[in-house]
Amino acid sequence: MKNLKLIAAFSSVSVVSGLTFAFVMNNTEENFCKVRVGSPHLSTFFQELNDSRVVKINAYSMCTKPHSDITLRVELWKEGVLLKRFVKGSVSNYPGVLRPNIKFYNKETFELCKSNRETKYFGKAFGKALIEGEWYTSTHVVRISTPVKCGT
Amino acid sequence: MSEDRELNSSSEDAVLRDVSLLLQDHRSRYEEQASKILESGSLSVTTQVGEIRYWIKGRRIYYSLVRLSDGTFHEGKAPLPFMRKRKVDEFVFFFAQSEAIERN
Repeated sequence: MKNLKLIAAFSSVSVVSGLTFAFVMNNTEENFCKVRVGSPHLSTFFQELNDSRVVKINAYSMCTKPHSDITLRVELWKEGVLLKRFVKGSVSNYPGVLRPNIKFYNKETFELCKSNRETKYFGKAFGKALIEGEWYTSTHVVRISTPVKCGT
Repeated sequence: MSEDRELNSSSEDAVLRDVSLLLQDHRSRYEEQASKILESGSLSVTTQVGEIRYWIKGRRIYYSLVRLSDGTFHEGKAPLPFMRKRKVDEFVFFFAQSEAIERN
């Protein structure tokens, strides 16, 4: 098994819905795979169906070569008074083979809001896939928390 | 930016739609399941499409399931609150969430 070393480097900054966040990406010579995690957001769709609201985070992994045994782990965290606190986590695993550049999504990480209290959230995503008999891993952590009016 | 829009979309989502429906239709069953798992520490639920396992380890709750429609394996975890009422509420949502994931 060959695990690629993960070198965290701030590589880009994007602005979505007026919120700024930074991507931390892998930067290796043989990095065939990447994962991306979005910013935490309220699901307006869930609110339309239900009086309740959820805070949600999505992620995907993608490789530039045929790959199999894909695992994508996504975690939602919040800023506590003193410490960062884990809110929800999910793992999706696909044992089959995916073609290059096909995105494997995990959109299953969400938590019910217990109040309207503004809380700062951030996400982490960890991916793993088998390419030509070797394991490749990648990580994406959003370093800047996003304020969401959702107490959990 | 299209990548960001994709990841931050709150558009129609089949899993969330089913969570909403399941919470409406099965809340009392979920509350009974919550009482059981709080007593025993683990629970296995047979659904219309398979089986979901739940357990408590430390201060966290877990589920695992195989989605038969695409053969994918799924796990989830969340902190277990301290107060019993909040524990039950957390489990109710956790049960709906895992069953919705299994369906989709």
